[in-house]
Amino acid sequence: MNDRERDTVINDYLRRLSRALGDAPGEARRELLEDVRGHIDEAWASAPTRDRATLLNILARLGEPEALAREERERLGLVTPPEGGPGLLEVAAIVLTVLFWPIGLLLAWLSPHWRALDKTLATAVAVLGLLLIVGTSFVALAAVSGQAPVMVQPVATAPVGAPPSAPAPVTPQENVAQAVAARGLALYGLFGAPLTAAAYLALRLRPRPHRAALLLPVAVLAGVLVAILVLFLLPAPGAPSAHATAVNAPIQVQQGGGDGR
Amino acid sequence: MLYNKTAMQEKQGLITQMRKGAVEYCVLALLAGRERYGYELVQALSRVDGMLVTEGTVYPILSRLKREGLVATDWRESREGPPRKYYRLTPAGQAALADFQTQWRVFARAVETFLERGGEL
Repeated sequence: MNDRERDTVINDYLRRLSRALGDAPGEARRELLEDVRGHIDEAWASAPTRDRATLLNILARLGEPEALAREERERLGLVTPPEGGPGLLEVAAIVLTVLFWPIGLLLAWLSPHWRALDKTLATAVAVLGLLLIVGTSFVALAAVSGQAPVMVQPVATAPVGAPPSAPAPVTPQENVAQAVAARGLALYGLFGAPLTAAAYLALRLRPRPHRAALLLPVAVLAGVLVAILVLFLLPAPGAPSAHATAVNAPIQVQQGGGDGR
Repeated sequence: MLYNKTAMQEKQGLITQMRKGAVEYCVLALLAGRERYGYELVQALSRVDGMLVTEGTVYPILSRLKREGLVATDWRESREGPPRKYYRLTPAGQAALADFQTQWRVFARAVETFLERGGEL
């Protein structure tokens, strides 16, 4: 057995170990890999014969890398998901999160294949979506009472393709932009947020390679962006407006407001 | 699917659990006389039947003992190859070992008493 073959087998073992360590802290991961590597080198150096069987025997005596990782995670106080990987419950949780997130996320909370933090984040995204819908509806109500007529148009979340029966009130360009933004937010709350939550759950499913840990900052970033959008694009409900309430505004709201989905 | 923690713990078995706990103190006992490097500790533990199921188990234990401050490490040059990480007992480790020795002996003697002469007592 030449050095290259030996290194391939050893590196394969160490890679499996590293992967199985999951989200173990970097310091503990580095130390265990270093210790195991040192062990293999010592055992190899003191072996009477240096063939493939000797190396495989050394690794067999060390134990399965997954078992070793479980041991380490246990001693670090980390919860290891059960063996066998995700099943029907997890798939149902992801699919139902897209279709009707309260049920989907309930299932996700029952599953051991996500960390509590991931479940919390997914739930937070879905709830944020709900708040967006409620928030834009609130603005719509304010518009009906004559305080912010410009926000009537965005909240009319009529089904796609259904033309408004009444002509839209004439609004300045600036207000049209706001209207488009608010409608976008409402649509995101309705469809985008549950989709984001489901996608996040799908990506955070464990066991998984630890590189997926990068997704957490990405998700946080997305959350921050959404929050900024909300803060900058939604005017305060009671904001004074120079425009008079359009006569047909309440009709529009009635048409759109009843259809939540 | 649904994670049944109790069932999993039962499957691991009482002896496995006890071994896991006891190995830590056996490592401390091995370090009581002198400092040793990791592979040396593994070999010493493997020499006695029934202590190690897999050799790799020793390394998570050593990391944990180090985190808890019961052992400390030093890198030393070796004649045979790359430097080795040597483990030694800290005063806290010595105290933990002494404490365990006392309690374990009383406990082991008690269990033995019942296992040997349960019918007579």
